[in-house]
Amino acid sequence: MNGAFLSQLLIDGTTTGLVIALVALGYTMVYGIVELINFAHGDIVMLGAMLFLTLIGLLGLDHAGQSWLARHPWVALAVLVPACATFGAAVAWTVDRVAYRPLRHLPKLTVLVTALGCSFVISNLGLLWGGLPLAVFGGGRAPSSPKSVPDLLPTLNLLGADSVVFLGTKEALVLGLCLPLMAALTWFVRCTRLGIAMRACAQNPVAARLMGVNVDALISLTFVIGGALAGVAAVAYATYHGTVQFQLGYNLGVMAFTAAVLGGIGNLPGAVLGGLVIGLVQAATTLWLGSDWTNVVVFLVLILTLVFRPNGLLGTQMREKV
Amino acid sequence: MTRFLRRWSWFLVFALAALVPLIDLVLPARLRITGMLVPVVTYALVALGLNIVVGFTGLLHLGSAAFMAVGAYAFAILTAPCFPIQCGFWPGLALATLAGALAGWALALPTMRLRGDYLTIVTLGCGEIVRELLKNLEPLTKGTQGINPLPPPALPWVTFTAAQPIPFYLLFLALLAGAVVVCRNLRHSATGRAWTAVREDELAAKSVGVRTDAAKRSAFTWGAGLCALGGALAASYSTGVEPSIYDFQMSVIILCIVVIGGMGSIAGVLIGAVVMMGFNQVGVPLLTGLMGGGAEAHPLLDANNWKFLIFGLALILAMRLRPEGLLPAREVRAELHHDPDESDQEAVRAGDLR
Amino acid sequence: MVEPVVPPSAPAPATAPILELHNLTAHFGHIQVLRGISLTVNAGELVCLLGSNGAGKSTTLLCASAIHHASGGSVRFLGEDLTRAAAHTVVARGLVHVPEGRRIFPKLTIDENLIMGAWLRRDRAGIARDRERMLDLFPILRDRLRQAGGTLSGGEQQMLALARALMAAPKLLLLDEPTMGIAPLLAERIAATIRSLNRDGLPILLVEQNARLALRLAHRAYVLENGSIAMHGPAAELAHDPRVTAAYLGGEG
Repeated sequence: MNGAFLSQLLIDGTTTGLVIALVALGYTMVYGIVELINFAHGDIVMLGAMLFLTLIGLLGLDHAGQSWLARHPWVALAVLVPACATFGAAVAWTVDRVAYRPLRHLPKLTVLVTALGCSFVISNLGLLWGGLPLAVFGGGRAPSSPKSVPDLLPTLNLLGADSVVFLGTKEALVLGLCLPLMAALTWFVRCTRLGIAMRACAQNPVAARLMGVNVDALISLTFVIGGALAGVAAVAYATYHGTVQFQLGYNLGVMAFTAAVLGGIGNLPGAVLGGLVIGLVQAATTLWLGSDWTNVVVFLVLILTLVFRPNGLLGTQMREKV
Repeated sequence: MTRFLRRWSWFLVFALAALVPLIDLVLPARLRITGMLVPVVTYALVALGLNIVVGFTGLLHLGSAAFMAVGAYAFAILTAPCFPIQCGFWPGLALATLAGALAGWALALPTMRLRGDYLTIVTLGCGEIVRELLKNLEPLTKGTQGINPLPPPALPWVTFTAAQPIPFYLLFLALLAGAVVVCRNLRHSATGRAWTAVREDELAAKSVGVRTDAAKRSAFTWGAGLCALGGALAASYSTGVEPSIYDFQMSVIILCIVVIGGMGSIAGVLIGAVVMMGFNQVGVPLLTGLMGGGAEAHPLLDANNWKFLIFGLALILAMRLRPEGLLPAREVRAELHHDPDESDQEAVRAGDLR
Repeated sequence: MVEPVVPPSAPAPATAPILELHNLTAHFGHIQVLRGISLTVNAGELVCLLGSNGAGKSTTLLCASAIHHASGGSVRFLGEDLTRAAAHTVVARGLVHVPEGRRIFPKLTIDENLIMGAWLRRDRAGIARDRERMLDLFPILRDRLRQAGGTLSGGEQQMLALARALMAAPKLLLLDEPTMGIAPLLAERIAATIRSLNRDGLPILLVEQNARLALRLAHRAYVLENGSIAMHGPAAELAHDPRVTAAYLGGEG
């Protein structure tokens, strides 16, 4: 084992981990304010990735160099990222408005089962979406099979062509999307009026109402932000991993939620830390044991962590609302 | 008369259920229903197990498919001809149930300190671990190809063959009746009261001397045992096991049987199993017919590709219209029927606002 | 108590009604908690609401601020009907409720708690001025601006809750048990603050278990029993009513 080997592991793990962390932030924000595991969140990422691939097809970006936009992939991405973020936000808002809000006063399990229902509906919509007769979906004959995402960005090593360690444009894109977004989110939650109100609602919704805060509107805002992050994560995931499938929502969602729990649910830095830990554990496991074992190791890490820190790595004592 | 009905209602229900195969005698072969009823019974058994954890004890468990898998694989490894030991159907079934109970107990050990959603994610994670292990431990589980064939039940004077589901149905129904009796007795035992205490208020239960950890452990153990029993029976009926059956969707379907039927209510769980499996076995094929889909049609016209959409919508609607389930336990219904202002007030009063 | 009993500065002008509750009834589930409450708070008045545990004092306040919706009767504030209003719109009109117990945001800093109080205001200059005023009124808070609210003691949290409510620039303050569970010395300070706020012209509806303290502060008082008004009148008179002294003042005069 040498330095280059370790640095590569670090780059791969961080990149995977940041995508997971971006999704985990959506889980943890929603959990913080309504105490709901929003099982549909991972599927919103999947739907965003479907939109991403569809737009690639519609804009002709899969035929490299054939159009002006295809020759300027960074411009294309500058259009696609906001589009997917808006779409994710819209889906998340709709799910909350239609499915969750009418149940806000019912016990947690009721809302949780509704979330599972939403997850099923959205992942099924993704399956059907993959059946659309588009070239990027292979004509739509096999809706459930993985669709490959064409490379928008040129394959080149940013560390120099002869470097042993590989840091490609895709990795750079993931870093460039995730890090500024996380910084912006931190600033928003810590320093703006809305951010303070959001934390206030999470701590004591009745007192927040007594201050004149429209709690329902803030909850909607939380879903919208989480959905937008999911949309961006969709682009990052699809670009970096190169395939899209309707089941990715479940797999990525479970990893992201595990990350949120690992870091301490409701805690934003915790979600990022959890995502990075899981990304690195995945990368290391894939390298040493094979990708068949990543889930086993990740969940063992989760269980072991919770045995010693029942509220996650950065979590504080959580009071249970029964 | 009503008293008579109340006392003997369970007996009547099972007696009527046992008579259902008679209908098949007059129906044409393609409409016979007993074959569809066998999965209803096995899933009802599994759901009764989950109901002990979720309904009686109030712990949200999202990994019940893993315990089905433990039961099914233990049964397979102990009875399949491709392994060195073939201990036969009944010992295999007993040991599979025991293996499931043991697995449930083992899962309970590291999770006792966890609360609420932390427990949920760990049960989900355990489900994933078990499924991956089934895939990866090739020498023991034959990996993704699975294990088959598995032996059918063995009883004197009766032969069990795949072509004839009625003996399977009657035998499984008898086992289900036994499980119902066990569940009813458990609920009214000291253990069952401890479960209820944990569900209602763990802290209060602890303060009056209920050993909550032991209660949770026994709930996991009993629940997993029943799940494993159901899993082993399902495996025997389908003559084989493979890992992909026991995924997260399976866990959710079992949870939905419990929730849609009515958490904590034994009769509700049975109704839930009939409704959910009925949708899967009757609803989906009907829908495929209606949509004109078949093997050659466009995939968008295949009802199997719409199944989870419909299923998800049904869940959302069920939670909106009848959150307490079809046949709820009395205390759950009371809990769910109060106006929103009141819960506000309770929150304000209790100071329980974090 | 150390402080001599000082009668309120001047009988408040009983002219313009700020808050009028008319024949208010309220239910929690099937249990009727309020059975027809009518009360008025006039401009500049400090009115207190007495009664034993479960008499419906807190519920009256919750209905007035629309956190809980009354099942019958009406709530009028500054001439406007608020009976069915959404809670967050009530604050915008200037009716601010400081609920029972410690209702601050424990993980927000004290500064952030104050900012939350001014949530609906848009006048930056006015907010900054009021923030300074609050920090002068409660100097303890100034020393701990960056500290999480949950680290304060009970009495300090009550001051923070009061300051936070005042940040909303209220036209009427509803105070629910501001001195409950607080050390006597701090309770006196809070009482003095309440009185001086009222002397500056802020109408207050005060719910108190400590009847002696409440009757000393208030112009007028209502006594609640089993969800309806049993007595009302000037605080000084009620303080000497034998029924009140027997029930709420431990039999002394």
